Amino acid sequence: MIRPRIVITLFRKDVVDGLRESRVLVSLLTPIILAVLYNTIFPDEKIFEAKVAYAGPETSAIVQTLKTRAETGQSVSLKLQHVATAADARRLVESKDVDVAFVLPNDVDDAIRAGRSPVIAVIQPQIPNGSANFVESSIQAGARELAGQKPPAVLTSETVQVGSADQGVMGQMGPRRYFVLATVVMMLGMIAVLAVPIMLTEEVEKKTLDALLLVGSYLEVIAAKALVGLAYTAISVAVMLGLTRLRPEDIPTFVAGTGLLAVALIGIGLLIGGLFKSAQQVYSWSSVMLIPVIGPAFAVGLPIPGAADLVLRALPTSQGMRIMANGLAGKALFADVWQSFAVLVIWAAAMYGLLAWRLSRRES
Amino acid sequence: MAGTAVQVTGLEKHYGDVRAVDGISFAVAEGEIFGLLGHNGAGKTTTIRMLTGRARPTAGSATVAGYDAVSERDRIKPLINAVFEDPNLYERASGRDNLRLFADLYGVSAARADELLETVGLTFAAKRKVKTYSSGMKQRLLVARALVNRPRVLFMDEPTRGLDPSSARELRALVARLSDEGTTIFLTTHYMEEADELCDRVAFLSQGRIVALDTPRELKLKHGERRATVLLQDRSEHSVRLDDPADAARLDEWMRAGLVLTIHSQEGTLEDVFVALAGRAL
Repeated sequence: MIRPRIVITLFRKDVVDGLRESRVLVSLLTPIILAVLYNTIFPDEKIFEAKVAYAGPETSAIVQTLKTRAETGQSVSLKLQHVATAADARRLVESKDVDVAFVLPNDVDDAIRAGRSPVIAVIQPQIPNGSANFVESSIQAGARELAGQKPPAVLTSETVQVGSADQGVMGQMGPRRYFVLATVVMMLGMIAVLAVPIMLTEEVEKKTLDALLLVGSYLEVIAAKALVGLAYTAISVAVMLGLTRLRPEDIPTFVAGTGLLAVALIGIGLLIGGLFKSAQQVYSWSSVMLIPVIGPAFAVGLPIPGAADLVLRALPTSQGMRIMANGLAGKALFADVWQSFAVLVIWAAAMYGLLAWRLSRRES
Repeated sequence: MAGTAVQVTGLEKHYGDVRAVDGISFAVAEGEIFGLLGHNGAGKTTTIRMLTGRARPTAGSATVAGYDAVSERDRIKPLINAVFEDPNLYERASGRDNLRLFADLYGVSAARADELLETVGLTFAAKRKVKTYSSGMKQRLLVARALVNRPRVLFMDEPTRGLDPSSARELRALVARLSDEGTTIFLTTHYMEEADELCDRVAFLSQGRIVALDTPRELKLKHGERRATVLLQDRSEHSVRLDDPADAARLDEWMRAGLVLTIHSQEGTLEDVFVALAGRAL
């Protein structure tokens, strides 16, 4: 029988006492620091900033076309600056304050409509850049539209996945979101397989468990530790997402995947806690224990050969990563998500079943 | 007559082929200070573990505060507590926080923590982290923690270990006071003088079996060697064994000759009794 008052009291003690333990603190902070690092190293996907200056009428349809293409394309962040003269525009390019500039005649729109082929000058550095290409193609498009011409061809662009549907996930998510998400899974692993066992083993090592068992039961002590693991997970994931500005598009799926993975991993951690006699032993062996837990999370979005992929699919962190990736993207990056839930449920059931068996042996 | 606080009948605990506790039986009355003495590995800690519900007996039965130690251990828990041999405290927390944690666990007022800090003389260090405490202070905090729930039966494993003589004396006075107030004390100790001074009765445990159980006085009388130190007129001092016919005859001779200045009788010590019964000293 579990008495909620005992569990809650132990939970409150463990949450505070855990943070006073440097090894637990390291297991919480390392993934957060790593996530912030990944967030900084990998820029947002495909977006570049185009700094453009122009001289001429601000109301020109060509200027409007430029703005519209930047807004709808989702790949260019346009910083458009109006200047008084062509000389001003040239000066800005020379001083590298802008990437490219263009000069529109005052009657440019009317001239094009009348078929007079006005000259539009584009001023760019000697080494061409993406901004100049964007400006030139936008001017061409705007001019055709003003002239009432249809484009000579309609250009469509389609991205296709190579191989299985799963293999292009990192490409679809972008390295920033992929690695930050893998770090979230890493943190779940470190909390479950490092912080929780350290806290449990320390109770045995320091014999404080003997004092607790005079008033509570081993089951209540274990339940409190599991709750602490879940609380650390919830707080750390929120902090990590906040710091990296990642917003899950499908929150229920993301929360369900995170929660179920945390429950399964904490079950593993509680079992591991029973194998060691001291917290230092847990810490010393942590890297060996963490590799099979964390590795699959980073590997799941990469092209993996068949046999290794089968092994990956049997591991909880790779399946948790699949669910969380879908939740973060708000779409089915991984199609077989029900399998992922099933694998996590099986892991959780197996771990807590083993834990119950060990508890019953301990009681006898 | 006082009721029975602890009743043990044919209690056994086996670890594989090893019989850590091998069929012990005894009863402890309410308010009694009962000492369990024995070498390391004699079965003292295993006995306490079974009585406090932390280990299941292989055979036999035990009741504590009227409840079965196995089937009703959840009923026993609020009625007992223990001072452990090791200073098993939360060292990163303060003394007060340690006591408040257990006050919360037992569902008693947080004010009890301050009351107990006062009782054991640790109010001045209430806010300090336990890791900064001396071993004597930690021992006193352990005792305070064991009193949080006002236990009816208190198990104390080497409670004065690591204490300076003055603190040890204060603790023994506290134990005696608790006993006077009706708390049953189940004590294990290596200090024979302490057991002699504190305990109403003691049991000697050897290889899992009780080899003697009685009041310290009766044990000393039954198993101790009665001696006398005799000072003669020529200022020579002689130790004589009163139960040895040759020594007794020698003393009689000195008395008749008027050679004896003083005689001091000496009863055997508990240590002597233990050595005689268990084969070696603690």
